[in-house]
Parts: sequence; structure tokens; C-alpha cells
Amino acid sequence: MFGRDLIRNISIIAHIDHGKTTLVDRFLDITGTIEHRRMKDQFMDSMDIERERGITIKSKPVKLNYTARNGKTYEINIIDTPGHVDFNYEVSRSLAACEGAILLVDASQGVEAQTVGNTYLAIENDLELIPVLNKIDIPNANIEETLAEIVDLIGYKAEECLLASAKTGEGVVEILEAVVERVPPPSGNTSAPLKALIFDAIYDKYRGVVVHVRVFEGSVRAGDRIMMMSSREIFEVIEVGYFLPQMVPTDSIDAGEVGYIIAVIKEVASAKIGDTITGATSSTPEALPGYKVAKPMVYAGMFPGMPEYYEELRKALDKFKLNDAALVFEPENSPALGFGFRVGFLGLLHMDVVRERLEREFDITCILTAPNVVYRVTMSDGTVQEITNPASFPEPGEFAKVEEPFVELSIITPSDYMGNLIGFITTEKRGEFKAVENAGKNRVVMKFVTPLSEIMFDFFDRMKALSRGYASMDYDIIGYRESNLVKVTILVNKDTVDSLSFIVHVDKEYAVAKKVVDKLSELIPQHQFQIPIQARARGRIIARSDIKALRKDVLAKCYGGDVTRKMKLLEKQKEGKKRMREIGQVTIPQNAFLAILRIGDEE
Amino acid sequence: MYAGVYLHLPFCARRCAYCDFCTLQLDETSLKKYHAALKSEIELFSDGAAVDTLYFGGGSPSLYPLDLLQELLDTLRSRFRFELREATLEANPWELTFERLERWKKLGVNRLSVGLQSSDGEILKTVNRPVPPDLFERLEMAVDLFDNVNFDFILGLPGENRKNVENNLKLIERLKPAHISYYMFDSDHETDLMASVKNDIIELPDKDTLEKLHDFIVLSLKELGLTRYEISSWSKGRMSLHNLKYWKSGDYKGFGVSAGSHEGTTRSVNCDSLDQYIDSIVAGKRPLAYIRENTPLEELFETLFMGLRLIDGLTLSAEIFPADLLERSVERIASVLGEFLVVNGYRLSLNDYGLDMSRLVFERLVGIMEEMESLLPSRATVEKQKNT
Repeated sequence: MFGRDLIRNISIIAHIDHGKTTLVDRFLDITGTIEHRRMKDQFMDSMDIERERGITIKSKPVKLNYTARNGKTYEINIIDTPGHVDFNYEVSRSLAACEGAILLVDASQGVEAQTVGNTYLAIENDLELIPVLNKIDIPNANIEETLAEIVDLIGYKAEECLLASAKTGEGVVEILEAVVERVPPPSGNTSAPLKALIFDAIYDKYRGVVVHVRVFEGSVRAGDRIMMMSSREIFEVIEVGYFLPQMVPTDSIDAGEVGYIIAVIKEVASAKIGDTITGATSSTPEALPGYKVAKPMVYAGMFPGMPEYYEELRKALDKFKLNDAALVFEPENSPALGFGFRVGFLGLLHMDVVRERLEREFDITCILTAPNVVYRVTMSDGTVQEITNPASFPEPGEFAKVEEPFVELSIITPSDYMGNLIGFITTEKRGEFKAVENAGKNRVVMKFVTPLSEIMFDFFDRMKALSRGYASMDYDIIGYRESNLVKVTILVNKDTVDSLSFIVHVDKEYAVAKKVVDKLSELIPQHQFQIPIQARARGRIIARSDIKALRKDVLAKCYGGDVTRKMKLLEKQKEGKKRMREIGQVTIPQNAFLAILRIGDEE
Repeated sequence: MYAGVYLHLPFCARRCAYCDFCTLQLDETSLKKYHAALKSEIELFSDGAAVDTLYFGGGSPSLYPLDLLQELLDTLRSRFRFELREATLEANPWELTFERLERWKKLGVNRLSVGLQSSDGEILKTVNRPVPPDLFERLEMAVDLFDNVNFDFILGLPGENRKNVENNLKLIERLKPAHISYYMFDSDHETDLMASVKNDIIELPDKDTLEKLHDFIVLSLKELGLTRYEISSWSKGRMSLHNLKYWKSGDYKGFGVSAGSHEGTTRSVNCDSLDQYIDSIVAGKRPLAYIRENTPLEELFETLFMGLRLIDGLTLSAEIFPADLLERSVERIASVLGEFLVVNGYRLSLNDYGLDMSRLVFERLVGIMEEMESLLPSRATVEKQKNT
């Protein structure tokens, strides 16, 4: 449809809240891609949960037609990317489909650690970068300092940076002009055999699998027979089209373009993200590099709110997986919670999002247990096991060594808070301080090596508190290292509750155990009898907290007219207990299983 | 059998922070409209039954203009066979003036229920219910002019401590009201107060303190010669006859927004919204939120639900309930709730432990009802058409 030199493929790199989605909305607005009155704010975040939380979870493409100052009309394909570290793999997918990227930085917040990480990803992918300072209209925007940070952290000259406000629209046209001028058009030969990268695939109830592609060579049209290069499976194309941003069919998508393919594909698994699509008859000799498969970083037990809903939960997870390839799960049988699943997530936000969507979209209540990382245990006989569930962590004497995942942690912070943060990370979080460099005038970037498990629990909020909200973080997994770890088991009313077990470093064993039993005694409601909560490690009880017996529970006033209302209220309270489980004689609520995540709450 | 009549007068000068009842800011226009609608409701939907108890509840019935109160009474008299033994009016301390007290007496009110909630000025200020400076004198006057006065107290408002409970009890000792209602503060409703608690603006007293204070109150009221006859009611030979109708699942008819009725085995409740209420009445329809003919199972459990609040408990009559249902229910209840109850044939009452744990007992009672309901071939609830 367009000459290839009139096409630009870009993504936008930005931290959460730096205004990426607003900028895209403004682009749509300026180019008239969607009519103003039809525009919901933040068009790109289409899931309810994305809109509510102001985060982007799924990469989404959109195509704009922009008439530039030179009079020519360009096709600009934008692939929106998520900003949270949990969804980092989505970023690398998007970048592989582009020739350029807008690097969007909030002028009041400065450069955040994760933006730096993603920028390096883009540079590795040979992308042309356009740094943009956003939110220059707000009173506490610090343009000069933010520019200095970009220069120090990313190595761009201040003159190369654009100033804009996505909210007011100021400077937005200049961004589009820069995209047209600076980002190279895609290369690739339209008459060569088809070579297209799958950067996403979603399952649509009505249309089956919709494959999102960037075509590098050749073209694809309805009726074509295409082949997935990894599996050599062949499908017939029913429809191809663009994202405007809703799906609009077209005759063909050609080399350089971004769009979707609907073929007779029954399972999302057949359209592997990162795979290359080619023609069934005339094939390209070599596949595109593709990407690493997203690997779950944390595991948690997921159990139905009521045991009889196990089958429903399984079905829901199956369906869910169609649109979330990063989710893995297998059945788990817990003595305390019965039948459920061990589910792998990309991180805690991902876990939260999955749980919330399961509850909203499938109307299922579930009990989640505290998440943990994957431990690698070398047993005494030399065999190696990957432990995803603390309950199956071996006892001392049964194993030779334990390794856990470590990360390189980057923290960008105003230099005033450097001391606080170094102290916190090295003394409380088993971190090793590696390096510090200046970032602009007042800020520094610090590097640490620390176990992944330490930054999962009770980290982010503490970091924010210690830096008055200014510090930001990013991390990369750097592999497994040996650690001196021990399993702590929790006993409720003298019964072991396997789902409350956790793994902790020996140095912190007593302190964490005490905090956990204290928290549990807050979260578990009083019963008619006293309940001891105990923590056991290596055969000894190392902490204890008691829940006092409930002596009184007197019913409040009940007027004649409202007997039904009173009964309804009691029914509702009883209903609320659905998310609780009877273990022995004790009723344990859902949030108690996440007690370890909440031990830092009141500090 | 005599029935009771309840009139809901929802207007208040201000809304107390703990209040979850249907109340409205007092203003001339809505009062007039409401009054007219209330009169019409009585005229349109009364059945001429014999009535021996009357209760003006609210809201703040003591704010209701006296001439309008007179009109309501006249209307009631024209539609029911009045043989009143008890006519209660709920009153705020602010309206306890000699003139009003005299007029209420002349109108036939013979029992006052005074919403004290606490004798502590600070506590009451916190919950947006300031008291008049001459509180004691006003109460004294009320007790002098009426020989049947109830004081309402709430245990567990923010700021509650041993000292102010002792002061409440001293007040009772000096004024000797015939009746005391001492309620546990109910944190289960969405009220202004609970919103402040959730936002950490106000703190509620801790459970431990309240448990001890509750024991202290029970003991002290007994020493003052007041007999506990219901979970939260004490009296010196003058139980609330109207409330007993609720607790004994008798017949009563409610008029006004949000008022409930129980006639035979039919339970109904009026709507909460003033506009909706008035619209219904104007259209000549009963202003119902719902009406339901209880199944024998529902009627049985409602009877238990109310009756077990009485210290003497209740006897489930084999003349009212089907024999097999009665047998199965009592058997199930005795096995699940045995530790809380005294069961003697079909006579049931809470034991001391049951009185202390009543919320838990009633919650489980609802559970047993649901469980038994699910065992029935079909839920035989007869949903009557609204506005019949």
C-alpha cells in the first residue's frame, strides 16, 4: 500500500507513568486515526485491569498515517510495550520488529533504572533512538537535570533530545517529524519468499488465533498457505490486516509492515512467539533469530476458594494460558489445601494480574500461597533437583548444596539517599555493592549483586521509603549461586501447614520466622480456643506466637423490621469465609497464606 | 392475639457517625410530603386489627412536630382497634423539655426510649452526637414524668474505657430507669464511623477491653436490680412489650420508609428511598422493598433467630411447624450448636457461653438453615408479586 521508504516501525520505551499511553493517544488524535469522540482515554490499554492500574501488560500494535511537513504521507507502525520489569520479555519482542524507538522520559521524575535497561536492549537491536522529555508542562519538571541524566546514562547529546507534553500536545508533532526523519525505513524485498516474525499471538473467542507479525521479506495475503518454521506446520490464511488500532482487513501485508494474520490455527501453541512464518511453497532458507522464551521467575500455589471448584480453576487456567504464554502450571496436591496448582509467574505483578483476571473474567475465587523463586538443589547422591515448592525442599543432611537465582540490581537514586540504600541492601538484603557512577548532577546509578528472592519480598516499598520515593530499580538475572538456605515450617495449633512453609537464609532464620508467626497471629481470626503458631527449622521450634481464645462475640442490635437484613448480613459474613480453609480445627483466611509478603507492612 | 404497630419517623437534626438506619435531614418540605404519605399509607393499607403496642422509631421521632404526631395517632385510631398497653416514642436528649414531655404524655405516649448511647461528652462528640450541657436534669425530668423509660447505650464507641462505662452505670443508678438497652457497637455496617476507622482517622477500642467491659456491665446491671431478659435488654419488671412481639415472632405492622412487618408467616419490608416511598403511595401501591411468604423452614429459623435472643429462649410449637421439620431441625441444631444451648424437647435457650458467643451462634444458625434448605426438593419460596 505504501512505498517501503514511507514506512516507519517504532516502539516506545518508557517507565510506568512516564506518559507512553497518553503519547500514543495524542498520536492517534493528531493523525485522525480514531475519531475524537470515539476515543476513550488511554486507548491502548484495553484490558480493564490495565486501565485501572495505569499499566500496560500486553504489547499492542497500532498503525498511523501521518502526513509530514514535507508533504508525504507516511505509515507509522507503533508497537506499544509494557513498562514493568515483569513483562520485560514483551519489550524485547517488540524491539525485534522495529527499526527505531522513542525513549520517553518524565522530566519531573528523571531517567529510571528500567528505562536504561530497555534502552540498552534497543541499542543491542540496532534501533535508532529518539530521546523525548515528556511532561514539560508540569510545574516540577526539571528539564536541565533530566537532559544531563540522558547524556550520562544513555550517551545522547542534549541537542538530540526533544521536549514535549503528551498531555497538552506540545512538541508532539516534532516527535512524529523526528520519527520520519531519523528512523530508517524498513529494508527487505517484497518479491522474495515470505519471512515474517511472530511477535504476539492472541486467542479470540470468535476468530481463533490472531497472529501479530512484522513482515521482513515478501508479502502475505488471504488464501496463501503459510508455514511455521519451527514446527513446519502449514496453515491457510483467511485474512490479513492492520491495527488501526482495531483490526482492519487489507489485501496484503508487505515487507516492512506490521499487521495480523488469521489462519485456521486452532491452538495458540501452534503460533509460537518469536517463530518465523514463511510460505508453504516458496520458503525462505533461514529463520529470523527469534527470542528467548519467557521463563517463570516465581512460583506460587494456587488453590480453588472451595475445594469443589478445582475443575473450574483448571479450565480457567487453560483458557487463560491461550493469551498468556508466560504462564505455566502443573497440578499440586497439598495436605493442607487439597488439590490445586503450582503456577509459575514472571514476577509478583504478573501473579497479581493473573489472580485478579481469573477472579474477574472467570468469576473464580482462589487462594494463593506465598511465592518463591526456583531453587536448585544438589542432593547427597549428586542428582540435581529444581525445587519450585518450599514444601518439597529437602531436610538438612539430604542435600549437598543449594543454589538460588541471583540478579544484578541497578538502582538510580538522588545521591542523598545513597547511604541509606547501600546500608539497607548490603545488611538486610544480602546484597553485594559493586559500583556507583554519576547520572546527571544530583543522581547516581548503583550496581549490586543480590539474590532474586531478596528483592521480591519487602524490597520495593522499603527502597521507595528510604529514598522518599525517588529511587528506581531494574534487574537482570545473572545465574545461580550457592547459598546457605533453610526451610522453615509453620505449625498452626500443632499441625504442620505445608502451604505456609518458606525458605530463608540461615542468618535471617530467627528474625523472619518471628515476623511470620506474629503476622499470622494477626491474620488468623480468633477461635474459641487458644491457637499456638510455631515456626520450626532443622527440627527445632524457633519462634512462637499465640492467638488468644475468643471469649466473647456478642450479636449486635436487631430490630424487628430488619431480621431478614441481619440474617443476610450474617450470611454474607459466612460467605466471606469461602476463601478460608479449615485446617485441623482452625480456619485460615486467604491473606494468611501470603503473610510472608506482608511482614514489612507496619514498618 | 393483639398486633403491634411501628411507625418510622426518619428525620434527624444531624446524622450520627455510627448510624446505619434510614434517616433524613429534617426539612420542612420533605417532612410535609412524608407526613402526608405516611397518613395515606395507614389509611390505605390497614386491616383494622386489634393493636396493643405502638412504637414511634426513627430517625428522631422526638423532633416530629407534635400536631403532626397527633394526626398520625388519630389516623391510626380510625383504622385499627386500639387497646394500647404500651406506646413508645424514641427521644433524643435535646428534645427532653417539660413542654414536649407533657404533650407526649397527653397524646398517650407512656414509654420513652432515650438514645443516650453514652454519658461521655467526648465520645458523643466524636460520633457527631453532641449532648446538651444539662443532660442530667433533662433525663431526671423524663424519669419523673414517665414511669417507663428506657436508656439506650452502645458499648464500644471510639474512646470507650472503664471510667466512662462506670459513669454510665452511675447515671443508671441515680436515675433508676425501668429499662436499659446496652448494645454492642456493630462494626459490620458501612457507616461514616467505619469509613473513618478504615482510613485510620479514628480507632475503635480493642477487643480485650470490650470483653472485660461487657462482663462488668452484665454484673453491675444485675447488682442494680435490673434483670437481663434479652441479649441486650435489661428491665425492672417492665419489659418492652412491643419488642417482645419481634422476639416472639408475633404480628406487627410497620408504616413508613424501611419499616418491616410480620403478619402470619408473611414478612415484608418497605423501601428505603423517600422518593420511591412517596411515589408508591401516590400511585396507591404498597411501598414495598419486598414481600415474602415464608416457607415453614424459613419461618422456623426466623422464629429461632429472634426467640433465642431472649434469655428464656423459646418453645417451638408443634402446632405451628410440621413435625418432621421440627424434629430434624432441632436435632441438627443440637448437634452443631450443643455447646451453646440448653435444649429440652422443643424448648431452646442460649446458655451463658451461648450468650457470650451469640454472633457466632446466629451465624451458624443461618448456615444450618441454608444446609437444610439445600436438602429440600426445591426452594419453595413463594415470591409474591410486588405491590399486590
